[in-house]
Amino acid sequence: MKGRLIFPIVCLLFFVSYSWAITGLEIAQKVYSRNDGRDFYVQMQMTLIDKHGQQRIRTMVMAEKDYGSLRKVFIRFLSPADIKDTTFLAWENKDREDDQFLYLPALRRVRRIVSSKKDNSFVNSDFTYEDMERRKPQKDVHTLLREERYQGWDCWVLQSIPKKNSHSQYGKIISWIVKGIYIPVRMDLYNRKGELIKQFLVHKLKCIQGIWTATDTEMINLKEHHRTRLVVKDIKYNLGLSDEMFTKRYMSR
Amino acid sequence: MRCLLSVICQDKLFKTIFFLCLLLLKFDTQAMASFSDLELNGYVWTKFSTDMNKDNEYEDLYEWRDEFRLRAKGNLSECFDFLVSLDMDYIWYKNEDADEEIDPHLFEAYFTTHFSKFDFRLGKQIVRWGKTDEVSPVDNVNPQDMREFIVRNLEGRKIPIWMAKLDFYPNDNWEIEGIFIPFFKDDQIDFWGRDWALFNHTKRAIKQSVLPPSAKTLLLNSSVIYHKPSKNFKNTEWGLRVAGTVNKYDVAFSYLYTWSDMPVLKSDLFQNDFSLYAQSGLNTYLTHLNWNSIADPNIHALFYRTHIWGVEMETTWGDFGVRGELAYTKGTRFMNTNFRISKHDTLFYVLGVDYLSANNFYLNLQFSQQIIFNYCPIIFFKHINNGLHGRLSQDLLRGKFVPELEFYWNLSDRSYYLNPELKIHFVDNWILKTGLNIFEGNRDTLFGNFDNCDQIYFYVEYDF
Repeated sequence: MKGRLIFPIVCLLFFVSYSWAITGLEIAQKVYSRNDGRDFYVQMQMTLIDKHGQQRIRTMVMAEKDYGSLRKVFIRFLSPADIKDTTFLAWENKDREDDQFLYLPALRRVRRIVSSKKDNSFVNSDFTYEDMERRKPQKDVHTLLREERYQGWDCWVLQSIPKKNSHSQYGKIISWIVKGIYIPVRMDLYNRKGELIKQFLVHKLKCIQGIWTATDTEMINLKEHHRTRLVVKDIKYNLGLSDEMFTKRYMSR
Repeated sequence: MRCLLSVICQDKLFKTIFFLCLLLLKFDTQAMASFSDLELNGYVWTKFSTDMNKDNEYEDLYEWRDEFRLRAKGNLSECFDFLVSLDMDYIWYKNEDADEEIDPHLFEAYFTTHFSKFDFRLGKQIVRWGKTDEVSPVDNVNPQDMREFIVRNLEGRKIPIWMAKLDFYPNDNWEIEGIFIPFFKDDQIDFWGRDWALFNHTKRAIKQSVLPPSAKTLLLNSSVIYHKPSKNFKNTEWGLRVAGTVNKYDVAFSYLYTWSDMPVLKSDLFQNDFSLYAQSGLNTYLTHLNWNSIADPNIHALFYRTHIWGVEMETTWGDFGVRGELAYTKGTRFMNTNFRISKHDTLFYVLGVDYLSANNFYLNLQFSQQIIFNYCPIIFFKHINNGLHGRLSQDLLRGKFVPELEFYWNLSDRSYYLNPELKIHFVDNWILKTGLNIFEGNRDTLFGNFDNCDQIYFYVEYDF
């Protein structure tokens, strides 16, 4: 699936030093504004792998729709049985705090949840809520470090450091952005102490309906020796998803 | 018209309409073609509990409870879905009065039609009103299984009832919900023979008491006679709820015309004053009975009409979730300490906050206050009843181990319930729990009444 999908983290990385004619900020802007369709619907599998190799598999569907100043995300878990039908809805607002809702079948009601805790883990995976959202390029200082070939792709290597007044759990992110596609295929994520804590890798990139999509990705927590692999089983773009899908009403259906 | 409505509300007819609707859809071949969407799922759990102390000779020292639920859920089309679930619940306890029957029964059974502006659901269902957790004054639609007091959580205690529900959505922000309940269903409670029963082991105590044989016979033959509202239109229940969002505040306003699900009891056996029983025990209470005034030794369970107006609110303030509810109830009946039934209006509200830290420490605190108007001394309730409910938990190893503490603390009578628990979720679909149920308080308090029910338990659940 496309980078924004799985790790809109992707959209974080960019910088200010330049090589040739392009600057880090320009690369970051291109990643952020890359064409990724008006909406998409994806089925995916999330595998949590601990340091002993023990796996826990979750399957889910995710839908996203862009409304310009507003982005709506719907996630529903299909398995395992003990979390089946748990549904998450986010309305990512441009100018104010996001609205987030959780439907737990056992509670039989939709609950508004706090959206400001971006550094919380997403369903015990190695992704945090910050990793799942699109981060505006203007929030970071982007530096183009070099150009190099990575896994067969010609890449820009970019460094992104959050500006003083912008909140982030990370102190620095180094990204390998594929030229012409504007998708990061590797990201090294550092904490505020400068320690490398996580690594994001793209194992497969596919062009689906004319949109480049990362279909097999992995987030590795280097401190806890824990990994989360996300594999796209099926994705469709520009379906014209109905607005109803992104409502509290639909969550409990 | 009134007569016609009365007929419609007859139990058999209502259920027949429900199954006829299902049957009619069954013969829609196009709908059958998409029947592959049928999902089967459910769970089975077993819980073994043992008392921490032997408080008296009649106690159930061990208890075993199991539940199996099978759910079938399907879509016959984009705008029509259904759910049917079967439930088998079994409680075993070491007592000669124990009912060891497994009771397989239909749990939920409903279908829902979805249109652009409204949804309609008909059948046996659970409807949850309210925003707060566990203590929810506005949530009075379904009766509850109170056979183990509040040891099961609120959602687990709910009993589905036959109901028609219509939700109208004038826009994305607002919802108007109407419900109609044709048949009254009361809370499930045990009266005799268990630690959790209302009169716990009174009959066994009477058998071994020093009372004259004639008095023993009289008491042992007493039974509970229910006076439930008959099935007619006049006795139906209905409610209306308007819910919506204003800025970042989710609010709701509701009205419910209902029956109290928990009975109030009346009997010639209830004499003198409750404090005599609470302070001196059963034997003293029995020896003070005026046997000549007992014309009817039975206990009569009475149900009364109530009107409930509710307000709900939920929002987030910074890192905190904030929620609250308020219910004004007209016509609640209570049993006074002199065993007379009195009618009161009550105001009951709950305010709560919850917080989840970055390292998955969760805190949920709720303050509740119930005010009883025109107060006179009432069993278990004071004029103003303040309470604190809380839940603290910490996810360890990505949710594989979760130590948790839940508590209810009645600030007015200083009684409390504590439930420390360790949840082990090492393998998907398997949940293991072990913990304690601790009740403390005087015998004339709600929690103190279950002081003999302190337990340690082990629980295993498999979801499929």
